[in-house]
Amino acid sequence: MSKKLHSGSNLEKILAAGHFAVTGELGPPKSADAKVILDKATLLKGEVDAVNITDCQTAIVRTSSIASASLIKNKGVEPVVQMTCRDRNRIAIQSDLLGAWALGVKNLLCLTGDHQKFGNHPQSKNVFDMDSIQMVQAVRNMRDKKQFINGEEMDVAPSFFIGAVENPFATPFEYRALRLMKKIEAGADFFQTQIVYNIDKFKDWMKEVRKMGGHKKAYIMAGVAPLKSAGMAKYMKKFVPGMDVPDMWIERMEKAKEPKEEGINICVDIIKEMRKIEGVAGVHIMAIEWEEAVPTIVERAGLSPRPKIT
Amino acid sequence: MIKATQKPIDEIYEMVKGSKKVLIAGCGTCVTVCFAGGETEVNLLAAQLKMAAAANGEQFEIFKATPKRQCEKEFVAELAAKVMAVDAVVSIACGVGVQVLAEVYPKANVSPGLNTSFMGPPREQGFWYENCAGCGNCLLHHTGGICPIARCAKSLLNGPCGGSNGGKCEVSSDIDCAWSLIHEKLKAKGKLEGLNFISGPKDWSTARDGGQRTIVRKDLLLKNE
Amino acid sequence: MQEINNSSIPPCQNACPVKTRARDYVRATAMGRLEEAYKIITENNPFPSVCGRVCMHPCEEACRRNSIDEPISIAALKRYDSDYVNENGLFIDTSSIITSGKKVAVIGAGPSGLAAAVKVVEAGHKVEVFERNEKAGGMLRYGIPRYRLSDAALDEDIKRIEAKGVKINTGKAVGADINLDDLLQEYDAALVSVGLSDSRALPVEGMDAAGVHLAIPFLKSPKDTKAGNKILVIGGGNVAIDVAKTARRLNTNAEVTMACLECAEEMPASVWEIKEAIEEKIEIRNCMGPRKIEVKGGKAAGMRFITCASVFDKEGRFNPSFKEDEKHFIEADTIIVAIGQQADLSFLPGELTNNGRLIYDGGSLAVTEDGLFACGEVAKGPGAAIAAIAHGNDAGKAINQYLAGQEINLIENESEVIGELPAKVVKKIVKKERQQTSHVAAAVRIKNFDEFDNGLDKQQATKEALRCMDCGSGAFVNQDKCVACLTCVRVCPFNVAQIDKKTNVAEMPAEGCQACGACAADCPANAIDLGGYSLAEILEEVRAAKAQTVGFICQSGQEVNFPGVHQIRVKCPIRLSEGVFLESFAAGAKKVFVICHSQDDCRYIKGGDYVKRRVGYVKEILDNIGIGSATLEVFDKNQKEEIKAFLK
Repeated sequence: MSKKLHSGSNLEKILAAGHFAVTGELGPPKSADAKVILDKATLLKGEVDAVNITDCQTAIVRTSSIASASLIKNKGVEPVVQMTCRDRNRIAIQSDLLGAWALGVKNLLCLTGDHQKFGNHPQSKNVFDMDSIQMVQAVRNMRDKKQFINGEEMDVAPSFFIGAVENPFATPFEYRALRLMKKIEAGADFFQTQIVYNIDKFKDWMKEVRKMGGHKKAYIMAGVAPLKSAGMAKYMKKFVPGMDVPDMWIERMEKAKEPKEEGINICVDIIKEMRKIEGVAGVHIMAIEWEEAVPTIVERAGLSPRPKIT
Repeated sequence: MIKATQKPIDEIYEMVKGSKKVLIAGCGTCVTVCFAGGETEVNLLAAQLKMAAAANGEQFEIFKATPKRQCEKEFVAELAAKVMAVDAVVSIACGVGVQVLAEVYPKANVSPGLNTSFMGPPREQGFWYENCAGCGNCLLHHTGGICPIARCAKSLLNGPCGGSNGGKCEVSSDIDCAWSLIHEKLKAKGKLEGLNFISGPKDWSTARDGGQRTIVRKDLLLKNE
Repeated sequence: MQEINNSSIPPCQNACPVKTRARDYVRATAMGRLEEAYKIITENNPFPSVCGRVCMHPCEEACRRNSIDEPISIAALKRYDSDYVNENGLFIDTSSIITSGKKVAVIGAGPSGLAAAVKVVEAGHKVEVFERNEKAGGMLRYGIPRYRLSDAALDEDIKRIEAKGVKINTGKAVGADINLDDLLQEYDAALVSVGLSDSRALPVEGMDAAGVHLAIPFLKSPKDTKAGNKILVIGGGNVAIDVAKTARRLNTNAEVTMACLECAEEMPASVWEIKEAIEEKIEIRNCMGPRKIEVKGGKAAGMRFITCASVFDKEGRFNPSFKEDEKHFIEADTIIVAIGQQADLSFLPGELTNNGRLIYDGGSLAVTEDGLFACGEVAKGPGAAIAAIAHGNDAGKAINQYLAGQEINLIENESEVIGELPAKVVKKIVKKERQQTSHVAAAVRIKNFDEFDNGLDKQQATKEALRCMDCGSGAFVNQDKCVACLTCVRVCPFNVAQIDKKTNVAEMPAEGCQACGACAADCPANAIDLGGYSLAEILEEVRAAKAQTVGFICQSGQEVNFPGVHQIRVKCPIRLSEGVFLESFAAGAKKVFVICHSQDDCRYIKGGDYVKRRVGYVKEILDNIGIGSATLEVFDKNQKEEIKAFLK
C-alpha cells in the first residue's frame, strides 16, 4: 500500500512503510494542570508511534484534546487528536480543525462520542449536529477539496491523516464490517477498534472486512487494554457500552496472584494474536490511567524498539 | 399525538396554594387520549387537590371545565365565566393549551398541571413512546419508516454508533436502538444497500433549532388585505 | 334508577303481552330493591302474585340467556317480589282520587275486567264491578286450581285493586240480578269482560251419562264431584292438565288418564305442566280421537277412540283427520271433558252477538257507539291470563279516551327489539347455573290442594336475578366527548365496544353489551355511562356518603355484611373507576375497600384484574398526597381474616 502521504505524520509513515504500528493513549486530567499531561507524555515518549488524546471521554469534563495535543507535541511526542460529535456543532468542529492543524496536529480520530448521560454533566444539551461519518467526510473534503462543509473554499487547508473507530462487537454484527467500508468511502485512512478481548469475534469481523477489501484501503489497528483487576474487567463487561469481555479473562484475573502482572500478560497475549491476523496493521494500547504499563507491554510483545522513519 | 404526564401533586399544590377558588381546565383531545388531562383526569385532580388542601388546613372551591381543544381560542373563550370566577387556573392541557389559555385570559393566573413530553403513539394500552421530533424535514422514506432523529439518542443519520448492543440503545436497555430497527427493517425489505449511502449533515434550520416555526396557508387566511 | 338511553327493548319485554319491563324489575331484584321491582311489575299488571305463579312466561322463552345456558326465572322472581310485598303489607295504596264525575260499570271481575278497572280508576273515574260469582277473580279463582294459585295469593292482588277504589260487587249477575239497559243508562261507559265461562261438550253419544262432567264446573268446585277409580280426561291443553291433576288429588289411588287429539310435540299444554302431571302418575295418551262414550246402566264405562292422524291441515286450520280402522278403548268410570270454553252471552241483546260470539270492533274494543266495550276471552277468544290482562289494559285505555271525548286509538308505536347475541360474545359469557325452585314431591303434594312450588329464597332470587344480562341497558356513549381513543375497545371483556364507521366515535351495540361497566370506568373522556347501574349514580352516592369507612361489595357475594360501614353494593366491582375510589376519600372517608366476589369466578371475566390495577394507581396517588396507600384495599370475599384486620 504505497500511497502518497496526506499528513506526513510519524504514524502515517510507519504504517505506509508496512511496519506493525503501535499507538498509545493519554487521558487529560480533570483540571487545568499541564504538568500531568506532560508527565504522562514523558512516560510514552519513544515507546509508541503516536499518542491518542481523548476528548472528554465518557462525557466527563477534561482538558481539551487539542490543547493537550499541542502541549505534548512541543515535548516531541506525536499526538492523535480525538474529536467527538457530542459537544460541538459543525461550526465549532471546523474551527477546531483549522486550529489543530495550525498547531501542528497531523493525526485526527473522528468519533460519535458517548452519550452525555454517562458523564459527570448528564444535564447538558447534546449537540450531535453531525455524526462520525459526516465528520470524516468533512475532514476529507477539507483536505482534498480545500472546502468547508458549505462548499466555500479555503487557502491553506488541513491535511490530516484521518482516523475513525469501529466496534466489531456491537450489534447488528453483520452490519459492522459494512459500516467500516462506509467510513472508508467517507475518507477514513486508518481505524482503531474498540478494545479486543473476544479474539474469535474479532477474527470473524476481520474476515468480513477482508472479504470487502477494507484492509487494503485503510490501516486497521486493533484496540487493546491491560486489565488492572478482575473488578475492572467485570465493570467494563457490565457498564461500558460496546464492550465484550469473555469470562476466561475474568477468571484468569481472579486466579492471578499479581493481577496487574497478569493483566499485562493477557494484553501481550492478545497483541501476539493480533499480529497473526491478516489485515491488522497495528495495535492501539489503551492503558487507562496506567500509562507506565505501556513500555512493558510493547517490549514483551516484541514490538520494541519502535522504528524510526525520517 | 402529543403526550404529557401530570406533574407531581405537591408541585401543583404549590402553584395554587393560598388561592380560594381554583379552576381545573382539561382538554378533550390529545391529553384525554393519553390519560393526562381529560375530563376523567380533571375529576381525579380535583379530588387530589381537595385532599391536599385539607391536609394543609386549607380549602379550595374547585371549578372544572374540559373544552374540546384547549388550543382553539373559540373553545377557550367559552370558559370565560369560570375563569373570571376563580383566582387560579390549573391547566392540564398540553403546553400548547396552557399558553393559549394564558393568552386568551391575560389577567388570569394560569399554571401548568402537566409536563408535556413528546409526540408518539401507544405501543399498547398504557404505554406510549416518542417517535417524532418535529424536525420539519421528514426523511422516513430513507429509514424504512423509523425516525432516527426522534428515536436515536444522538439523532445520527449514519448510525448505529458503537454503543448499540443487543438491539438496544446505550442510553437505556429499555430503549430500542433506532438504527438497529432501521437495519432490520431495510433488510427485511431487501433494501439494505440504502444504508451504504452517506447522509450528509442535516439541515436543522427546519427544526426547533431554527427558531419558532410557523405554517401559513394563504388560501385559508380569512382576513382580506 | 337512571332512564335507559336506548330505544330498543329487550326480547323479554317484547314477548310480554303487557310489555312488562322484565329486565328492569329483575335488575332491581338483583340489587335488593324489591319495592322498586314491585312498582315496575305493577306498572301494567295488577296481578303480580297471580302471574308470579301461573303465567306461562313467554318472556322466558324469548330470554336471550337461552343462547348461553338457561333463561332467567323471570316469573319466579315476580313471585318472590310480590311475596315480599304481601308479607310486609306494602303497596296497599288508597291514594286514587276519583274526580271526574264519570262512572264506569265492569261486568265480570276476572283478570281482564279488573285490569281495565284499575286503568279507569287511575284516570280518576268511578268504577263498579259486577261479578255473578261469590268471589272476584273469574278464571283465576274458579278455573285455576288452588295448588297453582292459592286463594290467599289471589286475594292479596285483589285487595290492592280494591284499595285503589275499584268497587267489586259479588253475587250480582247482570241479566238475572241487574238489568243491562238500566246499567247502560246509569253509567257513562260499560265493559263486558265475562270471559268464556261455559265448557264445550264433545259432540259424541253418551255425554249425558252419570260420571261424565265438564271441565269448568268440575274445576269450580272439585270436591262436589264424586271421583271414581278410573278417571279419563279428554283434552290436551293446560285446562285438561288442571282437570287431571285436580282429579288426582280427589282420589290419589285412581288411574288418571288424559287423552287428546294432538301428538306429544303438538300438545298445547305447557311443557312443565305436562312434566308435573307425569310426576303425579297421570298417563297421557296422544293422537286419540273420541268417538263414543260407552254407557252401562246409565253410567259412564269408558270411551271409544280412533287414531287421530293429524290435527291441523295444510293451511294450519284446526281440521283433524283420522284413521278409522285404528280403534282404541279406555275404561273409565269418570270422564271429564276439557276441550275448550265458550261464552255465556245470554244477558246481551241478540243484535250484539253472532253465532255465540260477541260482535265488537277489534281496533277500538267498542261493542256499541255509545260506550259499551268488551275485553278478555269473551272478545278475543281463549288465551293466557296475561293476554287477558293486556286486553283489559287496552280496554281501560279505550274507555278513558272515550270518556275524555277523544277518538279511540290503541295503536302503540312498535319498538325495535334487541337482536340475537353475536356468536363471538356468546363464547365469552360465563355460564351460571339457573336457580331452580323446589317442588314438594309428587307423592306428598297430591294429598292436598296446597301450593307445591316453594318459590325462590332470598339467596336464590338474588343469584338468579344477577344472571340477567341487562339487555339494552348497557353502555352508551356521549358522542360529543368521545375522542375514539380506543380504550373501551381494548378493555371490553367481551370485545363488544367498537368504533362506529359512520360516526367515528365509540359504540357498544346493544346486541352484545353485557352492561359490565368496564368501559365507563376506564374512559378518559368520561363519555360513557350505563343505562342501568349508572357510574354517575355511584359517584353521587359516594359524594353524599360522609362515612368513615366505605365498602364496595360485589352483589354476587351478597351474604357478607359489615356493620358501621357505608356499603355500596354493585353488580360487579369492574364498573368502579379510579375516580370513585379517590372521591370516597375526598368526601371524607378514612378507609375504603372493595370486596370482589371471587376472582376466578367473575361473571365479567376481568373484574378482579381491573379492580386491582385501578386500586394500584389510586394507592400511588394516596401515597403522594400523604394519606397513605394502606387506607385502600381490595379483597376476595374469602379473605375473611384480612378484611377483619383491615377494618379494625
